[in-house]
Amino acid sequence: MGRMIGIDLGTTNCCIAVLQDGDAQVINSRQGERTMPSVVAFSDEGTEIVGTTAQRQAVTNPNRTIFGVKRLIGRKFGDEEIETWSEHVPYEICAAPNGDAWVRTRDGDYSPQEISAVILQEIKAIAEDFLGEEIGEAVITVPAYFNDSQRQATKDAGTIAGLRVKNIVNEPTAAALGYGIDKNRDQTLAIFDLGGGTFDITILKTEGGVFEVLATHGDTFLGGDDFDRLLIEYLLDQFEGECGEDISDDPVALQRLKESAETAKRELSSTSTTSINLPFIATGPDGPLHLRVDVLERTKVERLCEQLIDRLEAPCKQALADAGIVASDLDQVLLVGGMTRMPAVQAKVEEIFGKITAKDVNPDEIVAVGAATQCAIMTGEVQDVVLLDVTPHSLGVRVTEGRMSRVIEKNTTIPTSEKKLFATTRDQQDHVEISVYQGEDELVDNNSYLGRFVLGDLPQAAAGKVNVEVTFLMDADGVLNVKAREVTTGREASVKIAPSSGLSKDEVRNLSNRRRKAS
Amino acid sequence: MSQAPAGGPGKRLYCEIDGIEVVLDVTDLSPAGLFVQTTTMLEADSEVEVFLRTPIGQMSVQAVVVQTVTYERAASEGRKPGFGLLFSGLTGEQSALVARSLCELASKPAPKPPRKATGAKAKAARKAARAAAGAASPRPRMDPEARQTLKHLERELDSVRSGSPWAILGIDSGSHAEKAREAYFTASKRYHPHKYARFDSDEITSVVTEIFIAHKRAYATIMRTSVQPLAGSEPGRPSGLNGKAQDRVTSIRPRRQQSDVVSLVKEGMRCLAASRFADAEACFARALDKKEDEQQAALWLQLCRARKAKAEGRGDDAIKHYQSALKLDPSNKEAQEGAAASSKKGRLFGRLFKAESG
Repeated sequence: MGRMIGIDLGTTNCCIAVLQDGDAQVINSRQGERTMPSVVAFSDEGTEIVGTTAQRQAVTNPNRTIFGVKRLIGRKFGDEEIETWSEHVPYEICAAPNGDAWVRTRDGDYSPQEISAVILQEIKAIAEDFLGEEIGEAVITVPAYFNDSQRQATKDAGTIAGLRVKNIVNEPTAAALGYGIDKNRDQTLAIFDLGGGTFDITILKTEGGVFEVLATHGDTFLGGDDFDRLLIEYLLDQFEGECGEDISDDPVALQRLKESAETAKRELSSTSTTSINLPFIATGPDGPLHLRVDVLERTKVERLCEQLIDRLEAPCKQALADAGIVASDLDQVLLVGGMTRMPAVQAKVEEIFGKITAKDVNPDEIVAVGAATQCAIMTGEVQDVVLLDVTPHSLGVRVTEGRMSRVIEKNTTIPTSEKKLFATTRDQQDHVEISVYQGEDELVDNNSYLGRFVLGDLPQAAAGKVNVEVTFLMDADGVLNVKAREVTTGREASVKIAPSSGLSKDEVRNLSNRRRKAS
Repeated sequence: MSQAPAGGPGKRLYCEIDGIEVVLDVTDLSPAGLFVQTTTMLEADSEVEVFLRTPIGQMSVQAVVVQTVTYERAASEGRKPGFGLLFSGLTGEQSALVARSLCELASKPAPKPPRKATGAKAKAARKAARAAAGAASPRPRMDPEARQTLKHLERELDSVRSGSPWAILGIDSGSHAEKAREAYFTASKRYHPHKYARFDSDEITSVVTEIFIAHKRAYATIMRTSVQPLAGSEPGRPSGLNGKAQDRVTSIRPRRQQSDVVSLVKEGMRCLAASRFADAEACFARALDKKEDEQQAALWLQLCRARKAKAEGRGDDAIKHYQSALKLDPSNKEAQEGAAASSKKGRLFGRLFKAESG
């Protein structure tokens, strides 16, 4: 064992924190920065480069510089979101044999878990250098709206990196913990978390040291990268209109454009106009071509991103409704994630909640600080505080006509255990199949499948006469156990729904061993 | 609930259903559930908390309303009016308690305790199960502190396995919602599984998870049956409950304090049971005018009109009213049946969906 650290493993940036003498402290990156870019690159010499250094060489090595891998983790290659994403990154995304979305480079195919593990291993090393002792355990944060396989994949990434992941905490919840821990006041908070790749909204109440999540909602494919993407598309169109050249297939040009667009977007948070100047971006029939936008106005970018900003509203309304409160019940709105620096986003937040947001929050660090606090709760260093989180998705079983019968409703505090009775549909039916799904749709086909098992040897009886009691037990880490029991005979069957990250236990172990030997 | 009743008539049992005291006849208890003789029906499929006191012990258990015998149906079939409750989630100890109570009440010698019957045996069984689970990967030896903690937690678990929700939270029966919330939060700080993560023991985690859930459930039950609004929350709507509990709050009427509306609806139901449609309609309409619990009154008004239409042979009108009722409460069994105009469909327990076979 060793010390436990809190890690905010973001889509674009990571942040590490540790609790020292009762205070959460952010650990600087090797470049002395408070956060580290979530970028991994493979060099010609076959070495792995991580963080700022990786980001710096991206322009010269676009095909082997992997950013935003969090968007792929725990997802299938066929997902619509993956398709959109793959059109906008210079590296190649491929389908693994099991259908997962992986990354393809000249050196081979990598699962998103392995790429994340490279980042986590660097984080582990940085923290060990800083603290001068071994780090064995970690609390890692994920978007609240992550599903089971995305969570498990993140856990596996930790294992591959040689970290025991003691807890996966939802990012907005961690932010609330980081914010509210030293405040003695009881309050109701909305945490609006718009990061590089995901959007979460959580409604949480603090009362005498209890941090109780009331509701959570979000969009796992809405973040800063999407804003960049729209800006890049606009610039590509402009360039093609002016010079007649389509440079969207040129990875180097695309990478340069991406960096400039990101910078411009960031600058426009504090100024009303900026400019973009990319000389020699392409070669036309009459010589070199330059991409120049002398005046890029904030309002222009805001207009481009209007639709994205509008998408923020519905989840917020839903979360308030699920929490059973109205906006005026809120004491504070916390803004988390770099994208919340955009004035148009802040204006939208104020429009939705009718509130000025809390100013004493560092949106880049607060999540890691909260993760470090959760470490302290788990080690017993912090006694009088507890986090009551919820399951963000409903869980249920498949019933007649492919419908979903919910057993655990979304936003239920975990750990929890719920029971429901079901009856047979045919005369002399000798078994029932219990198929478990996660999601909000009435039809299981539109939800995600988690696992199944069969309860056999049912007593012979007419349809509807045999009752089966199904019990869902979800533990504090969100791991689900499902049990079915025939009511009269007491015959039971059960299954632990091991969320599949796409990698088997052996694969994770082998990768972990390989990494340990390599380092 | 087809089990043969034990014990002769005349012997009395006491129980609380969602906080309402009910006296039962011994014949109304079976190993699987209860039959409550009453003319006031609970909604089919609603979940209730049953607190049962028998001569040899008491227990608190969840139950589902599975069968309602209305006054009219009882009269025509020569049965007792009331509703059936099917226990859900009886622990081994609880079913043993029911079985032994039945024997005790029937003045028969108690049967040998069934498997998992006693606390000691349950503990042994738990240990065996854990041993089996841990057999694959040898578990590291527990340090003395962990062992002590586990022992303490197991005692704690035994004490929250039975008893009223108030007893589980350690507060006076009938305490205010705020008091219950405080007690629940204190318990959360003490028994949340994360508080025991440092022991790194599956045994401790599983025991403490069960303790936490028992407190959470007790709190939800109290909030469900309580009508006092919490300070700082919307009136009549307890804050801090998760979505599921909130559903229950709105779908089950608080039965502790009877308002005018509740008495009006009840009176209407009595009239309806006696086929006095005009009187019933008047009651429901008056209840609806009171502007509280409108949903319930409106639902009954539609059901009343539908039954009246049916009795007068106006089939189409009846279906229309059933459809309106269904809009108000999609889980209402009578409305479902009426709207589908098919007697075959949905004969089973209301919304208890049928599990599909593989």
